[in-house]
Amino acid sequence: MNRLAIQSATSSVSPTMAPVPSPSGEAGLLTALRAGDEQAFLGLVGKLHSGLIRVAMLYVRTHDVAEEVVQESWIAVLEGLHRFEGRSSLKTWISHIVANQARTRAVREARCLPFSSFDESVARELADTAPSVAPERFTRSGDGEGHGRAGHWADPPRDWRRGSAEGALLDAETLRFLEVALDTLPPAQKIVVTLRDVEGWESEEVCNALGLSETNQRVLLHRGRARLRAMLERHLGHHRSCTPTRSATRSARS
Amino acid sequence: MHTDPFGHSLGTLLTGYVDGELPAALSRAVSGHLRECDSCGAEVASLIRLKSALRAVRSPPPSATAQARLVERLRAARLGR
Ligand SMILES: [Zn+2]
Ligand SMILES: [Zn+2]
Repeated sequence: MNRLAIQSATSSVSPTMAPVPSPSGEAGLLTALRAGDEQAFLGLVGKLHSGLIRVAMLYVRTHDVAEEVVQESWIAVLEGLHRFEGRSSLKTWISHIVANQARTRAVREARCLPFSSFDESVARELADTAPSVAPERFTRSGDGEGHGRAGHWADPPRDWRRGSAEGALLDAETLRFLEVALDTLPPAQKIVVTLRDVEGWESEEVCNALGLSETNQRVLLHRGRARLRAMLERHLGHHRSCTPTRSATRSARS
Repeated sequence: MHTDPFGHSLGTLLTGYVDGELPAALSRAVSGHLRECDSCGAEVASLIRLKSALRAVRSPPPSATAQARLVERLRAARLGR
């Protein structure tokens, strides 16, 4: 490494270079990453990798290629860190890099999905039934308080009692069932539900990564969940009624 | 599933509600409705069941081998600069 490289590496960590503060207190993480902290980097990889694979899979066909795309992207992330200005969240920036790399890869390899197919899926799935109205409209015409889009979020109903503590739900058969069920969703609903509910991304992050409006994201999420819910409830109903039979089979075998 | 005064389905509203993404006044209104409406209450409960189940589907992080390969490539990339 020559002196020039060391100099530029150092200057990129200097606080005077840190521009706009990034949304979610990422400054510490950024500093660590820019300083070449491998633990910080692997921590980020562990947190984001599986979601990024899902994003890449929108454009390339196989999991192996998606895996390669994401690996290349991680390198690009490190190389681009000094250019990252914190105008978006780190996650948004990284998912854009992955999407771009995946698109490039898809174009290069003729046998991959055409780029437009995701946008087409979105359009098709949104047009599927009468469009739902944006909830924001209710507030404006409804209570007249005119909440802006900047904040005022409600205390989330996290402690809703009726639905919680369904420990029995998480048995292996149900998990397996859900994986298969997710795979049957139309592509746009599948990626939105997967990023939101499986990977735990915020709606803003999903909108940014996929180029969706918040309203469309919510409609896709709602439709995907509705399908899954129907499948899951049906499965659980079946499961309850079939459990005795299964244990009988098991004890008969042993 | 119920509809609001304009005849729109409450579906996406309930989705925003379980995600804690509604403006405060709207969320309170939905809470109020849920206390009186069994069908929307059941839908919310079912949504929460689904969400908690989906959290468990998450695929494992990259294998130790994949991580080691990545670290190797990172070091190489840094040296190559
Ligand atoms: Zn069963
Ligand atoms: Zn209702």
